[in-house]
Amino acid sequence: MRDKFFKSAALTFGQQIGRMSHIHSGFHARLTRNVASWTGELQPSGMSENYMVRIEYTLRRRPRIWVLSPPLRPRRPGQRIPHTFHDGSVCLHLHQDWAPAMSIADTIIPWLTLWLYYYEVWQATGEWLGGGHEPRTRK
Amino acid sequence: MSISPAPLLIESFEAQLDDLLMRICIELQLDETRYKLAETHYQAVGKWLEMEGSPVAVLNPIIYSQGSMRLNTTVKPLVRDEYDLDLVCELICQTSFFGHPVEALDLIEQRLRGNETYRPMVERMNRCVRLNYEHQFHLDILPACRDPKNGGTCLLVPDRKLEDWKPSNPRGYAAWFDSRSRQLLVGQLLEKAEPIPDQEAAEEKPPLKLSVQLLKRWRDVRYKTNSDIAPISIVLTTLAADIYRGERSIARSVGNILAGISLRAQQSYPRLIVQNPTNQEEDLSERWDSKPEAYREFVRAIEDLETQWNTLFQTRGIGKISRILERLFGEDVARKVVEKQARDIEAARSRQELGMKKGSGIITSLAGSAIPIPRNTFYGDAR
Repeated sequence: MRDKFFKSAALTFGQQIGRMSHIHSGFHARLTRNVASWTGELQPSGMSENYMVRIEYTLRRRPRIWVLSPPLRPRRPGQRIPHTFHDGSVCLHLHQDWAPAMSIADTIIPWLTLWLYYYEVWQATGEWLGGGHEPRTRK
Repeated sequence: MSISPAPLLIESFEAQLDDLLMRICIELQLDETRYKLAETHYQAVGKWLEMEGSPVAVLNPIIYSQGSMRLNTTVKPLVRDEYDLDLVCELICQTSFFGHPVEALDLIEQRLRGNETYRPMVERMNRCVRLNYEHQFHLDILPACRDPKNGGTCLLVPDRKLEDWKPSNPRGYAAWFDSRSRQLLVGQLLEKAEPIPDQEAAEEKPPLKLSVQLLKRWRDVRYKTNSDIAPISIVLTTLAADIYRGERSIARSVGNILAGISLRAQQSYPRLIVQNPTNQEEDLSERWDSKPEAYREFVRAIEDLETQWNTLFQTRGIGKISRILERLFGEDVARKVVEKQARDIEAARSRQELGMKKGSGIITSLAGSAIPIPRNTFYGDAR
């Protein structure tokens, strides 16, 4: 199934923006020369905070995801936040999980809301319970 | 007692908080295995007492549970392993059968000491004879005679220190408490006399009972270093049951109980009096007379808890809420329940049963207009 998607053509900016505004109408879209971006709010569970998030998408590249506010915080100073990149952006998926033929609204956004839920649980318990894969920290 | 709540339990603030509070009660209450074990043990004690040749046999002893075991409001003690379980050993006789109240206690104690198994476990207490089951529970056996003056389920129990008989009505109290707890759950159904119920699993448990468990646990945590002035369980239980108005939500039920206690305290001078609902003449809170500082501290403690409870409703963020619950009910249990809730969500995710709500992003069960959450593997980079 994924292979079929993978081989099929990438969705255009217009298609991505259209699907986003259809499903996540609260998100604000912006299109510059070659980057589409969306800003909006997600609340993963009833108890959770409301997070302002930002998605940046350069066509055919991996979408980059930022949590703008409230800022992501380590549990202890200097501790790293699980499943983030070095630059502080959020890492939602393995390379092969996502392809440009997939709708951001149907993949990245649901994964982000899950990520935010597990992030809050990690804040509470110190354990990342959402599974996943993380390369070992370099010594 | 395995539970797997539907993922929609995290959809609303109140449902998610209630789920955590319910899980706290499950963690703290006597588990089903130990509950059954306690039952088996006390039935065996009953057999030993009524056996042919037993001096107690002529009094047709009947043993049944009372207190938290009867009300299903047990809470694991903070520091030791053993739950306190209270049993009545009702004797079919009048107090005049005994020359002195202490003789009733001695009769039970001697009979228990006559058994090789029980002998090393027996301990004399003021109103009962205790059997110690290490790392499990204490069974406190309270001999009682019928009270012909008050009739019904009224009993008289010997008090070693007072060298007298004191009135008691554990069955009447339990019936009152159960009817209070069923206000909304069974609506207008006629109440009928019921046998000792199987321990209800917390998820089927009336909110009042869960509220009482939470209040008792909070009390244990709050008064950890000054337990001598802590409000006794029957005072908390009676106040809660008297104030409870059939709220469905555990969190709201606790909030309203706290507001009710505060209001009553403000309206009472010099102090709040907690009457025994089955005996209007008995002041369950009488020890506040001799310890006014304990009463002042109780009022302060309830105000503090009310403030924290209101803060809880205003707080967002599972981490922040977990920290409030840690302070109120203990670090270990609060973290454990947040983790268990998340593990249930994760299990639903692995079964591909999760979706997200349009608009808010709230994780929900995969139904209706929810957007399915496809499979993914969270990743990251090395530092």
